[in-house]
Amino acid sequence: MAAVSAAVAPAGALAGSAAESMGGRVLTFAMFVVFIGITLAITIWARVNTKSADDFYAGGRVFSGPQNGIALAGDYMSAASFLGIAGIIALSGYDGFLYSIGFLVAWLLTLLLVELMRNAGRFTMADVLSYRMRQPPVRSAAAVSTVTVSVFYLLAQMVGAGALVGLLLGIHPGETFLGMSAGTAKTVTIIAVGALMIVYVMFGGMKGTTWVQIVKAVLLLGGAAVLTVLVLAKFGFNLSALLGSAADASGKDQAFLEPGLKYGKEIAGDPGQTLVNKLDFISLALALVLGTAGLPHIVTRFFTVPDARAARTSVNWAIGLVGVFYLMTLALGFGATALVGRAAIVAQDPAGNTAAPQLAQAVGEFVGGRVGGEILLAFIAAVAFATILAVVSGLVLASSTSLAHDFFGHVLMLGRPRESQEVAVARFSALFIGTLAVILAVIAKNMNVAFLVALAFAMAAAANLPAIVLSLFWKRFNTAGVVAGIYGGLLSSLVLVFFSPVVSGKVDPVTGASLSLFPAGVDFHWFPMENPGLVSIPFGFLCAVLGTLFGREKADDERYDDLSVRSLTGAGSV
Amino acid sequence: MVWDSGPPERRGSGRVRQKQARRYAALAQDERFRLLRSRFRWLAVSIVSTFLGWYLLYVLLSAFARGLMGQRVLGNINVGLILGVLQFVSTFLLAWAYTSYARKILDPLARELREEAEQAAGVPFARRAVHDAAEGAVEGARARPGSGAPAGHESGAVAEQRAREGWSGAVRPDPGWLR
Repeated sequence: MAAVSAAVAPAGALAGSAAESMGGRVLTFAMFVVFIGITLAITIWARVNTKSADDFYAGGRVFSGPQNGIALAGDYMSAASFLGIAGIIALSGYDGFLYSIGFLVAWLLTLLLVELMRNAGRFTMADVLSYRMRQPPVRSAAAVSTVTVSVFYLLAQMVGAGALVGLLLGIHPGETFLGMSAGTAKTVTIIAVGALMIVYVMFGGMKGTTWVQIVKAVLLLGGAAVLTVLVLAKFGFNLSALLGSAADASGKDQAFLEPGLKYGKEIAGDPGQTLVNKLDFISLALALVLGTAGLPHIVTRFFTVPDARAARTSVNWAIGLVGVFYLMTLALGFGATALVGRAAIVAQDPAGNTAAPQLAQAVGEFVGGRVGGEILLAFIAAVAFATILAVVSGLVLASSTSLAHDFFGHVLMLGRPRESQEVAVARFSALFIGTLAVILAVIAKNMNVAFLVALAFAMAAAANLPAIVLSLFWKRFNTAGVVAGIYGGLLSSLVLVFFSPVVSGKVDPVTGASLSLFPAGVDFHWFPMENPGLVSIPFGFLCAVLGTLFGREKADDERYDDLSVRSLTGAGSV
Repeated sequence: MVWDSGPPERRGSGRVRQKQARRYAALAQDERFRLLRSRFRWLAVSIVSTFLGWYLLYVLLSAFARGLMGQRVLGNINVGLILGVLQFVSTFLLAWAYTSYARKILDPLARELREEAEQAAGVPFARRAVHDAAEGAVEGARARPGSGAPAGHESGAVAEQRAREGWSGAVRPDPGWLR
């Protein structure tokens, strides 16, 4: 998902793309407006029907397993996975597919934990973590971790959105749309996306956000399915022919269908760097597979269903939908290379994020000529926009829920706020987090922040997963252990990334331009890998264990027994 | 009205709350619960080790055995692609296997224990004694050191009722964890 990046639009790279005419642009824009209209109507309906904290945080727990499963898949399939993975496959071939697999396999871990979490918790991850611990430190740590993970993920999506919507509307440097230049359009997009997500969350709460998510997931899966069928039809439903044609068009021949073009690159004559690249790839894979179960916006969604069985059903639906979706991106990515061509994709966006929309235009033209191409392009662009909006709303909701319920409710108010008070704080937190994200995204709008998605997964795996697993299964685990595990995992991930090549010291060997956050010439990196997971995940577990052993507090055995019974049988669950 | 935003088992005032926070603990000693727990753990460990091992094998092959991954099998379809698609297949299969095992083996046991636990926690003292005796005859091995009992003058049923309504009493409760 990393590829929806801010680096998508270096000036000039987009010139010469004739992707969209004025008519197509207006059509795309009109579809954006229709989607916004529908979602705002949902939000108004949800506002009227949101009264209690259960409604705001958990959508009243009235969603069925399949509904929540579609919403879970919607939360997970960001624009970054739709456009980003299709783009990576289009440019790097097999490695994009390899990348998507980690995202899917991770759901098995989620499936094993979902019932226990649903049974033992109420609104947030911290409900489970703090059950047999001292509340204030555990709740604070969980809130810090939730907000950090969500805001980083959010930032990646928002910055990506700024660049992307410009691309989708076909606004190129030097051109104007509604009187805006490309740079202004980026800022305006970030602010507009931010304002909409704040409105969805503040007023719609979990009810509104879930329905927005469902609408978006159906649109996304439908759009991807149409494209897949058209691409496969073009090749007579012969997968081998599609692959061969893509390999030919990629200019890399068979290597395009094999691992190694993007992850774990082999550097001739430098075995040290080759090994680091391969370990870096393993580190990424580990973060993806272990991170999902600790992502706050996924965890809060466990509580929107009536019971643990429905929660399990929803994860099963999510596994099915996400799996089918990634299999479709395989066809989309290779199809884009074969039908659009590498040169045309790179000309529009060097990171490949527009591969899927360009493919939509190409296959649309096969079916319905020029008009068909524009209609399909406009539709896919609108789907991508819907995806961005829905995913950022889910993230804002997760972090405001945690701020209000965990930090305000249990730390500041010692677990005894009035219900209306806590919900009001949650709405205000959404405004606060949303505004913060908009400001950060506007500042970072021209930086390459694609690494933040992988970082969010690494932090979720290193900070949240040890705390969740050990609090459910380790009798001796105590408050000091939770706190040490969360902060240890979080900080180690952050520190390692800060001193890694993604922040400083990575230069393009050919042009000498900086590929890091800092400009060329600044180099303080000492950690060789770009993904911290390989070190930070074991470190998170280690901190949790050491914290427990060195903490003076003795774990309450009886309460552990109580938690075990509750989590496994569902006794006393809400 | 005071709204306690804690999990339902933590609601209730003072000592009731303390007791409620461990009202199901006794069931942990139950043979059937131990069976449920060991079955779940065995299942979880075997699924995690299977999918994680198989996924890491695939990742390691992608990183270090590229010759093998590039081996063509059918037209342009190579070993790497087949192994990748098999990851999807194995994910679907494991999810299905877990779900059907849980439905058949774990769910009935969990439901039985849950009903019993909630009933026990909600039944007043006098009736509980009878209930216990009756239960005891069937479940001789079960230890239940009074933990399900709500404290003081408040009967379990009332406490349960209160917990369900989310009402925690007019007096500010003493949160147990401040002790």
